Amino acid sequence: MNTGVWQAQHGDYLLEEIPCGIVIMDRDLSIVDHNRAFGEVYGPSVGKPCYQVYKDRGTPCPKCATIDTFADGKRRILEESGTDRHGQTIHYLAQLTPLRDKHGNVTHVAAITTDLTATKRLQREYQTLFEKVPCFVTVLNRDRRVVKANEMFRRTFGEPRGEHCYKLFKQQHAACADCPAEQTFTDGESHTARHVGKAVNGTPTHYVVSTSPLLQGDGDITHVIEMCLDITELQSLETELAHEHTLRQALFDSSQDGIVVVDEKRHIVLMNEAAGRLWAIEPSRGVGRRVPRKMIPRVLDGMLKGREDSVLVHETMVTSVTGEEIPVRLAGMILRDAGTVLGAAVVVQDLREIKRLEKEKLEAERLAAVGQTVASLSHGIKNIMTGLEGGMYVTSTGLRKGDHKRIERGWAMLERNMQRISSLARDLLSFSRGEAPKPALINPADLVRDIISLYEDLAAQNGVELVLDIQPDIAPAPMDPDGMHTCLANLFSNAFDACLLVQEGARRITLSLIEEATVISFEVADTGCGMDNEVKKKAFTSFFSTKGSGGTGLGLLSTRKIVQQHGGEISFNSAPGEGTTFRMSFPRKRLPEPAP
Amino acid sequence: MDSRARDLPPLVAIVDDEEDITTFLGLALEDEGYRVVTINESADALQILRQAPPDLICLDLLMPHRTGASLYLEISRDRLLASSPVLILSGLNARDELNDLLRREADAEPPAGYLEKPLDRDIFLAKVQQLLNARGKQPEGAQT
Repeated sequence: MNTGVWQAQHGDYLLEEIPCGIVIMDRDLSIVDHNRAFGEVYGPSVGKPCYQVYKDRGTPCPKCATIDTFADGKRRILEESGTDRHGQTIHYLAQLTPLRDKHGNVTHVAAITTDLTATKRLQREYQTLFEKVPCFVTVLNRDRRVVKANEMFRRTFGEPRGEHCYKLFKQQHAACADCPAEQTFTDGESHTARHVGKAVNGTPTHYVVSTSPLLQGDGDITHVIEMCLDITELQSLETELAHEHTLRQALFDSSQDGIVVVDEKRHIVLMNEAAGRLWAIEPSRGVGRRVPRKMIPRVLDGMLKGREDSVLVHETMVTSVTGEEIPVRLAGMILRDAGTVLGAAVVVQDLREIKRLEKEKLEAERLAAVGQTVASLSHGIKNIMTGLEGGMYVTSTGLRKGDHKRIERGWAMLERNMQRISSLARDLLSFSRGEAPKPALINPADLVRDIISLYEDLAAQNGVELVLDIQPDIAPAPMDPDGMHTCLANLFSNAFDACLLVQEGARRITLSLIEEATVISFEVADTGCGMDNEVKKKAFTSFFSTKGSGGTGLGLLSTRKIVQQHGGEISFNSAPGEGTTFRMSFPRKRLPEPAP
Repeated sequence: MDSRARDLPPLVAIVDDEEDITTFLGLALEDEGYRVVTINESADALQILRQAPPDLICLDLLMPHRTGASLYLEISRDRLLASSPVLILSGLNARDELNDLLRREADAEPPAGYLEKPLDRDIFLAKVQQLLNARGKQPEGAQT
């Protein structure tokens, strides 16, 4: 330090106040002087060897820069780390300067140390941020080569090795047309773009890239930093969503069931083609309009007022704008968002075609039954005719022989067969009348109890044990009381007759009533003679009676007709010698509506 | 009790669940001098027929508990009864049923005769006579 005016006035004030540690070492590496800033970091150190002060060592460092400076008399700058007086690691920049005597010999070395600890920490923090940030971060030079890339980039696109960004990101051989880095190099502004790259494993990678200029001190842009947010997952979600939307739209459009979505004020929000056809409204003209009350039945109001969240009506009527009443199956559900009612969706299935087919099928069945009836009717009549012919023969031969007994016998035959003709005519009439059932809400258990009270005396007289098995709590159901009574009486009377054909003591009839999965079933099980296969096959054929002249053969046929009119089914199990079980099952949802 | 051995009038069995028919046909045959056995319960038929194998069995098809078709099959395979000719008396439906049954049972022979109800007495008697003649049998009245 040359002697000048400032120093003459202020002495070593400058050396003491400057915020850098200044220390002077002799050839023995012993500290001969230091300023206050040095002492604040390393403590009072005059007389101590530098290696002890800087590095807390007992011997000189293996490659000592100070020794080198004594040897070659050259200045040196080096980055070092050591420990301060509290034993904390500190990073510092040391500038070594040889101090010479008047002969030019280096007698001392001065070291100016600048504390880099805070800078180093900042550097480390930035490095960590750069490496660990969950984006692809790269630094590009003007040639658009990647000079630096972070961990996530390297993991996805591989080591940069100074390759071009387009090669690394997209495995392309030329720059992209809308290169945001180029724009930043040109205008110094940040730019954002959406690109699709190709990872090293070949999977497409969607990302949003933002570029920023890295400025040198003089304002020149030497590099651009690119930060890319991986949106591949978002993109695939978006694609999936779009796909799902397309799918839903296609379902909505092509559904054969009418779908109408209304808001909470009954305004149509959505309406598909099928709904348009059903209500005779062009869907595009329907949307925005208020649904007329007749168009969708009352259940919709109930839902929108929050009474029900969903409804299913198996059969109801809707009215088209042209006034046509259309039978439909209707399902409705409330649409909510976080508890708020947004409206309702209503799906209606047009039942006209099904109804028509059902009617046709019923008609076809009826015609088939008529054919079968005519065929077997002629057979039944043949038997009666033979009986009449027999009665005439016996009566006339009795008259010729003057045999009174014979005349009586023949007369009885004539009477019996005349009687058969009238009962056949009566049953036939009741069968063919085809009256619709008159359903009323009745308790199914009462039907069974009525049959029991009607037949219990007769059963007791004939040694037939009656067993009643009624499931409690079966709710009332809409059934025609007279029709159902006829069915149960027919089945019971068949069971009773079958029981008479087995010995007393083994005669038992069990009447059961159960409801499972909303199907009500009546069962009449007997321990009677049972049926062989041939009889079973003919069980439901008109005029097939196993009761000889005692039956017209219409009992089971009538029963089946009534059961079918109630939407039910009749079936049986039977084996000769083991008895027979008839079961009539009625799904509640197919029962007729009770008469008002 | 073999009518063939003792030269008695031919024995004709009538199996039909309808009593009026067995009465009618039974009296008509008796009036012609035949011996007659009538059976109304088809389930008991086989046992009764075996006690006195008849010269001819008239069989109805549509009967409760045991149909004539299955009874016919049993008769045609029975050691005592197989030689007795069977005259089926029935309506049209049952004839189809019998044919179905015979088709299923390969070893079954068709019945000797078939008459459709309603029965005309003269035709019935003529048919009975014809079947018995084929076996060399005549009723008592015809011999005198």
